[in-house]
Amino acid sequence: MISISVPDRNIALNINNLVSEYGNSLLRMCFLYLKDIHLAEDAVQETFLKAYKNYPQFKGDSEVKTWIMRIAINVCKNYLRSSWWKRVDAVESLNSIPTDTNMEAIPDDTLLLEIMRLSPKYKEVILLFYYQDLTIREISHALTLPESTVSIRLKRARERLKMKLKGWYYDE
Amino acid sequence: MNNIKNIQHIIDSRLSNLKLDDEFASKMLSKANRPRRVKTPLAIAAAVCLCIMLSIPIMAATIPSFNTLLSLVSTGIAQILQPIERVSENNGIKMEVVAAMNDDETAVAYLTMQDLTGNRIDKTIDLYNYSITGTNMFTSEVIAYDEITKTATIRLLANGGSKLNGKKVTVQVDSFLSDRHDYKEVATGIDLTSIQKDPKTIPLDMTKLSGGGGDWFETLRALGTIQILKTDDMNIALPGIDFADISNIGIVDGRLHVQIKWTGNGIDDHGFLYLIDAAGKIINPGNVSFGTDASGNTKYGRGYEEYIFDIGEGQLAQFKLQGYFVTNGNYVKGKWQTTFKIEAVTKSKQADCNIDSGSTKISNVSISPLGITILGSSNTNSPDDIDFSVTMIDGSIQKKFNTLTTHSDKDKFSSKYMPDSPLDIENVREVSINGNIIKFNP
Repeated sequence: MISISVPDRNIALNINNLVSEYGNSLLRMCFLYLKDIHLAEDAVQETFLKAYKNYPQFKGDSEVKTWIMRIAINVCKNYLRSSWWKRVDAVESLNSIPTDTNMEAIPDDTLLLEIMRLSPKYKEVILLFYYQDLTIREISHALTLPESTVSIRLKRARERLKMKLKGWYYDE
Repeated sequence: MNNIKNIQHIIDSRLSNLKLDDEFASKMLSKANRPRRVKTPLAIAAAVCLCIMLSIPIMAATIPSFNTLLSLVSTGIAQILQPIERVSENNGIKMEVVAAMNDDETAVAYLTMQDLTGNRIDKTIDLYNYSITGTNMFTSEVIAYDEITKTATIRLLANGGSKLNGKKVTVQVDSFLSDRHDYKEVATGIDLTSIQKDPKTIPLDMTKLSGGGGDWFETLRALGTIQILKTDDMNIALPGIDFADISNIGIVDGRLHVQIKWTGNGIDDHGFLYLIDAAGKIINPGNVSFGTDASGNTKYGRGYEEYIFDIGEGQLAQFKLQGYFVTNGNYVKGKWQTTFKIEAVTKSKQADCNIDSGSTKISNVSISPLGITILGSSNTNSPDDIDFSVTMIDGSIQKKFNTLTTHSDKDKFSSKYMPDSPLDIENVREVSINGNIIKFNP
């Protein structure tokens, strides 16, 4: 019998790396999802806490990024459920975030507002695909949905955006 | 550049000020490793309190259809919706009353219709026979359609109720239309200069109409009996339309008359004709709906529609006759009904008053998130135009009331003015009616 030794899987998660790699984009995604900066900050904190505590149970059947996104979307969904009565207007919420004068000028908030106004099921696929750069397969892992459903939702979400963004440059 | 593919760049640029602070990870870890200090009995007590305090919203939040609805309506409406979630299934179709809101005169129900066995429900669904008990004026509108689940979400608005709040009501749908087809700008191709100048006519008793409308309708009705074209004197096909044709056309009493016969089986086939000139100017007609008996005499019914244009022979050359027609592929019958108690989240406020504007007297005004209700009496058919505005505590004036329904019984009337979004009645300072101020807050 031949024994082959394999290295132990490192079950300690380097949370600092994870926060620096995904922290800001998660915060922005949660903000667009929840339309509330304070809820978004809480959601990001809860996401990383869950990741930190549950990493030993993470089976590695998807990329860490996909797993983190899955946690974040689930946390956001829970927040939406428990905060439906205090939802705020997307315009008001976005106006509360100052623009950075050092950054390239943004002509308008049209796209962001229309994304914020999408229903959650469409918003999440748009954000995961276009903003987090996940593939359809990764999104299907993150949302525990069949790939075909993700594709259809993405198509519908694009159609809705396209309809709302008439007059605004839209490229398939 | 505004490009959907640049979404990552657009979001990161616009939200560049949204960043986690440098201490985020260490603060979070210290929180994660902190032992729980809440003693069990206290935790249980807190949980019990929370359950009691939050039971209603959490109950609401755990209803999936209610959550879906919340994503479809405005924040203001979400705040006053009462979750209902009552399901009725018949003929392979599921109706669910998801939520409702109301005051004493008005009820709004949000319901979903889903075909469990076929494709009879689409985004063109139009409720045909439906009601909410305790009310007598209804309108409905599709606000969303989910293509994946083939579910339509419909807002049903019912007015004309009395002391509805706290009552049990039944939402009932008996039939609906779907598979709607619209035919726009249908060119008849008729040369209007060559039409009959002295066609055969028959009398129409304007008190026996099944319907009518348009600019000339009231003028025509005032005549009591009018002459219209003899039915079925012609049979001119409308291009691309297989459910209607032109059954006569000519000049009657100096005006252009065009008669349409509804030849299809659709229960609600309808449309209208109009004249259009080279510059795109449109002339709309008055129209009357009627039927005929075996002898060809007019009677109550809707087999024919006659369009009457206030355009004489000399002007016809400059116009073309076009039409707009609608038919539905499905007319589905069934019995879907659910009963529930409606209770307004916010109670109405009301004030008695004595405003005399000549023929109209106003005795009571009430305000609720759904609108302003004015009660009074009038010795005319309808109350005079009421000029009113709502002043909020912060001094702003709310004048956008886009829906008005008036219910009259003898000389008494009730007029409901509804805003686009719910009225924040806690912050209403006063209502001004024809210059008279009614205070609701100091």
